[in-house]
Amino acid sequence: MAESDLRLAIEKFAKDLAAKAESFVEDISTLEVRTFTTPSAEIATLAGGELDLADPTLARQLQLRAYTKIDFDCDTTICLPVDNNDQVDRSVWDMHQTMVMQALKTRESMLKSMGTALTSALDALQRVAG
Amino acid sequence: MTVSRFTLTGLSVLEGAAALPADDLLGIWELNASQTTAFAAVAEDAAATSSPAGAVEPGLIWRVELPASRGEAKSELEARLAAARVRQAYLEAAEKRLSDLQMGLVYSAQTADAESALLAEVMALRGSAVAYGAGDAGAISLLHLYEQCEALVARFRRLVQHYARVETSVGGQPVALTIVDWSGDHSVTWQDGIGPLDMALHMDSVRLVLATRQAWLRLISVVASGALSLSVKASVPGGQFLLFPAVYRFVRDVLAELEQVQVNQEAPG
Repeated sequence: MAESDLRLAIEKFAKDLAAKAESFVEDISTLEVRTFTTPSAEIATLAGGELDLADPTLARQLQLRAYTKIDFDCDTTICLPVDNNDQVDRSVWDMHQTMVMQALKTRESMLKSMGTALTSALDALQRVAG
Repeated sequence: MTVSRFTLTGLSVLEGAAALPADDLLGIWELNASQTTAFAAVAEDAAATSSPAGAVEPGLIWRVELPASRGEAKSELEARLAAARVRQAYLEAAEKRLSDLQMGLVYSAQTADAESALLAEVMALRGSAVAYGAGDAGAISLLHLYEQCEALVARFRRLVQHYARVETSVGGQPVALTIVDWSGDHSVTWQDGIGPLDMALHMDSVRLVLATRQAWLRLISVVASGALSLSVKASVPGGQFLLFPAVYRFVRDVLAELEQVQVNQEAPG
């Protein structure tokens, strides 16, 4: 009884993981980073919800300040934040660049994690087959 | 606020979660669904007035609450990041010990308690499908372990379904939140006028969350592949499922053992 429950739980987990791995491979062709700012009085109200910009209430609270999209072949699209004088807003731009670097590192570590998990699985399967 | 809190909400509400300890098994995060925080207090008020009860499935939210002293906050985050790295190394050690396990060898109880306990369970499973009688302490312990494993796997499913939402507050004031999705895309919202110190604190919070997720996924990978290869070594039919709880306990024991070694090394005298 306990064994079959556990077996079922593991099978569900493996299925979810496989689905995520599949979508990861599909989605990995681009990396997007969005930087928003919000007034200090508003930020706490964002807790727990989705950042869905189609939501007009949320769209009023958030201001998209910078955007970067990097394609797999390294084609890059960047939207720069400017102030009222059309000068690049350095503080926002620095924050955004730091986040882009973080996102690139995250993707690298996700790829490594996927690779390690795959290697472990193949290793274990080889032991089974051998 | 003078103390730090690192909480993960959304896992402890799962069925069967009571079978698991209230920490994250790596000792970094506190699992608690009912924290009142700078972010959460406002969210709960909003949910109470705008959403029907049970309408929204709670997601996984990683909350980092830091003291007003930026120096203390930085030290606390650095300590947790170091702890996450150490646990990753412990997991590698546990995987190596699992891989080195030999069925015919006798392990010294003093030097390899975890190996001895695991081999004893493997031998019991190999010798008989039902090693324990109903009501035996061993059977109850095994049943409890199965329940823990089932709850653990359910937790990991949830971890797979949701990626990471990180909320950082400093001195009781929310400063930033970041959502990372499965493809690595980041959406970050900063409080207007945030300073470089608070920004760095939030970045470290995001790093801590991602390092923890990586360690957890490594944990499940070590246990699953360990159970599979051990079932072959031990010739236990269907052993990858039967051995899952035993291997999970082995990994947990090795983590605790290595942790104790480190504590002993750091103890004065």
